[in-house]
Amino acid sequence: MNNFDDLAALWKAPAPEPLPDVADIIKKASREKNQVARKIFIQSSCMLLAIASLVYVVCAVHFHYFITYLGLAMMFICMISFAVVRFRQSRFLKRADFSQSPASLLNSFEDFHRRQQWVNTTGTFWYSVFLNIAFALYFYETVALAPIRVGWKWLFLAVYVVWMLIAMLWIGKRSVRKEHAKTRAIIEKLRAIKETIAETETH
Amino acid sequence: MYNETDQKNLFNDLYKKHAPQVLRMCMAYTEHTAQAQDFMQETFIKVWQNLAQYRGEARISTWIYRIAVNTCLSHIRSAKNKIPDELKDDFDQSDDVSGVQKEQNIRQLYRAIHELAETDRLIISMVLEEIPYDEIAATVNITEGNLRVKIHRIKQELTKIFFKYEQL
Repeated sequence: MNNFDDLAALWKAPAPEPLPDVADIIKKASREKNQVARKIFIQSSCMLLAIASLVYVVCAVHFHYFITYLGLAMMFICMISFAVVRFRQSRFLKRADFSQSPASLLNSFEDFHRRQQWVNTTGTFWYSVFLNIAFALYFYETVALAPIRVGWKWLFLAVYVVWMLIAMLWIGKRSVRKEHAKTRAIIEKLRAIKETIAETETH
Repeated sequence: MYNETDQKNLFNDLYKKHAPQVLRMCMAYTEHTAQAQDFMQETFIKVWQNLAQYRGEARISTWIYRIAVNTCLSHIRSAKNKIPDELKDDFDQSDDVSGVQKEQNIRQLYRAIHELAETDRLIISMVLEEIPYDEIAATVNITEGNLRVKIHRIKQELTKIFFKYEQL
């Protein structure tokens, strides 16, 4: 043995390594895809249920004040906006083509991350303001003017405020942290690939 | 667009045809067989999940190798790339066990490949698999001219490292 051709012959010499069963790979891939699909299905079902409840309330109950309907309309807009944003995000992730060049994939993920940051900061701020105004308008007639004892009204208000604080400051922030960590991990990996290829090009 | 049966048949064919090559590429990239098998599986999981999106802009083999290259390279500098002790088998340990000259030479070849830069390992493994140069260039996103220069250099480097070991 004294040249590269001998190495090439050597490369092909070993008996092929046993390969995992193709059915196992398909099963694993399908399991991963099903997990994502199940998550999207649960989220969409919850959203549909919420929209159906809203439509039922509008149809079944006759409200006296215009602002109550306005509140419900604003809630509806919030839900639709949330669903559209979520749908666009999941569509981007689903369509991400990991066979394309790392540089262009990195660009699209960086764009996605910028949009995600906007959604999770400015977008979420205005979403929360809008949604809380919507609830305030709706609760004016259904709670504030309702013929119930003042104590119950204060209790309701306290529960609402506590729930909103938990949703925004704990659950929301935790989910945002997770989302950003995932996107950043992908971006870091893509940067590493891009740098490695760039290093190779300069050698 | 494929229906599920077509997709399964196509995937089966692709797996039979390209999995051995992809596995050898992964073995050239990492010195641990178990990890190479993980990378190969990860590659084909992505192939299965994205098969419907394959637009035919590149050859399907190029598309698969690109996924394999991106999968291998994405594990560099990643914290997850720390090899668990139970996976540390293969070439280092088996050195003393095997007395067969050919097996020693094969291990020596892999060891020499592992001394190359990360992308060089993948390029040379594709050269050794006799994948056409235009396809390799498309896989690693460099021009064919640049690739030829690079391959010439990598071949020299690999031969030098391999025969350095042989002299020891």
